[in-house]
Amino acid sequence: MERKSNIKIVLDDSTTANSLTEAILKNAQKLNIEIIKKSDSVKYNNNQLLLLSNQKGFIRACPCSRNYRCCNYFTIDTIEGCIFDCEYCILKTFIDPAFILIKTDIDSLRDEISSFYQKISDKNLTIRIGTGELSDSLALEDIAPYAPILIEEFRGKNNLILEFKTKSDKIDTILNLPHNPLTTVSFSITTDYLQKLIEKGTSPIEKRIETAKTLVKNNYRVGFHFDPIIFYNGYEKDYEKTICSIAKNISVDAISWISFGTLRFGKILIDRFESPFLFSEYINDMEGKYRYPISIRKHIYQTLKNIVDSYFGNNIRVYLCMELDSLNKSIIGRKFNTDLEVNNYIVGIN
Amino acid sequence: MEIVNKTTTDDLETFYKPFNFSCPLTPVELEESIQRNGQITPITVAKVSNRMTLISGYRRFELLKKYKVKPTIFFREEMSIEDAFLHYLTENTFQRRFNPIEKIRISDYIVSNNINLPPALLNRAELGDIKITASLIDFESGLTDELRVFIAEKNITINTISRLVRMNDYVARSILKTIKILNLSHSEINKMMLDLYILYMRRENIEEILNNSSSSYNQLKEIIFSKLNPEMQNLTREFNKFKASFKRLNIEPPENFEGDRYKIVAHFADESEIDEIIEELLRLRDLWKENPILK
Repeated sequence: MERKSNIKIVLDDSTTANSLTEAILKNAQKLNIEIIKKSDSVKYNNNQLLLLSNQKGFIRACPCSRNYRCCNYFTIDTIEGCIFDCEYCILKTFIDPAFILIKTDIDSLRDEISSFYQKISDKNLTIRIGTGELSDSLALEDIAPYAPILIEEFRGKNNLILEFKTKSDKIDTILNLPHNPLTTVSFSITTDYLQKLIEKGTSPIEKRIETAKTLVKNNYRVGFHFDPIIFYNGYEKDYEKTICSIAKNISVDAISWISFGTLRFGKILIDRFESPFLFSEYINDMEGKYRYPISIRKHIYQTLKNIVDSYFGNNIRVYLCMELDSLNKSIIGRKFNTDLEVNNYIVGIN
Repeated sequence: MEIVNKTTTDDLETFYKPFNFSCPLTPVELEESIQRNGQITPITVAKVSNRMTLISGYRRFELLKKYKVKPTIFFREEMSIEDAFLHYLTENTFQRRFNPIEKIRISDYIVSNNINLPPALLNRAELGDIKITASLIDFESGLTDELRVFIAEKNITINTISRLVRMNDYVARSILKTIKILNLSHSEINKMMLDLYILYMRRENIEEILNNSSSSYNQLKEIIFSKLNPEMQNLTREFNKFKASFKRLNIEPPENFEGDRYKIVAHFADESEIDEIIEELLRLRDLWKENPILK
């Protein structure tokens, strides 16, 4: 039996008893995960502590960026914190590292989804919404099976496109479930070289692509987020290898979207970097973050877009995450005037 | 509790001083105040584990000794060492901000003695992540008093000191020596140290950079910028060439070319100059897509 010795489940007085907490406790037993009280958690500060919390507040507009073009995305914060250890991860700079918060109040979540659906329907919009903003969407599925709850809630709500974003291969809980036909499982994807060096604990790239293939066979749509794209000598060939592998395994019709976003981060994160290629040429962007100069970004986007086009033709919705309108125009060939226009382009409304 | 005036600085010298975290630096204002007004705030003393212990007022004590002023002491009831430390931190954080050398020494004391402190007090002391701050103690111990005073005076941040520590010792000392010679300000130091840290992590030869420019800050800044931002330097040069072909228009790009909005400033004296401006604007419209940022 698998034993996850460095993970502990933490209960506090407010933990709600419901089907999700029951499932978590059952999985903990199955996986030999110790359950502790919050008051004892200081003794386990070298462990990954999953705190079952009654905290409310799930859905919000993606905080994104005020100064760059956004895509009108909405996030569902079911879990806050991540078991993976990616060297570039910006979560480290604003999430309490002591606990990974699993918000277990699923009744509140259902209410929020229902009223959000009502609002979006009243406005006649089609919106993408997902759980991958403050955590990996599926990395903890074997312990906290949140995805089936969300899939069930979004069934029949055809103007809400549910997206899971992951670097894992934990899809067992969602295979064979009836779901909204637009539900998309997206993979944050990079090069094999970068995955091995700076994405500690994540699933290898080939495994992610194999997982995507399995999902497609199960009638799910898939997406790929090349984000963060990291610039290093020979990056083009390595990214091409990844894109080529996607093209070999996944039919173009099953891909909802592909996004590109180059590395960007708050300055404080630079003190956590170790890999020399992360100490690149950066400028202060309009948000006070570091990112590559515009000419380097443009070169990266154009290179990757050409590669994607060469494998898939011009048939996939490719978009840039948090970029300048001028770059969208030169890379995607579209001038977006509002964030909603970006959303509508991605979901294929125009 | 009582305030007495019988104890002398010689007596105080014999007291136990577990919280002597102060850097050799004494603020000029405190020194002037003691010279002008004598002692205003009493030094706090208490019995801790049967030993008379100086709890708070270490810097005042040093100055009173220096100016031979009889100390005013505030005797508190006997207390544990943990309570004494809590008292030290509470009193000091209400009166002043710790300098970076003190922050390192205090954090090391907290971590070494496994002391649990109220989070609000820790925040007020601005110690940052105490484990990280405490980890700088070996570096601090190896410094000369002169460098300690320099770091305290310039209030070099804990983040900046951490970067120095992550570089090799020889490089770190060369950097400190250079910024001391150049007498940089607090913000210049922190900015330059971050830039040098990035270059160091890129495996650039920091010694060579410092040796080529130790006489002037501007020269050093230029060398660092050219090493750190070759692409930006190139873009700026190319854009300047482009905009120089417009004599009547001053084209101002957004900072670091981040943003889609550019500004045009034009000055004129008469109609003929307006005509020239219009002519240049039309030429700019035709050539805009050819500018080095967009092409």
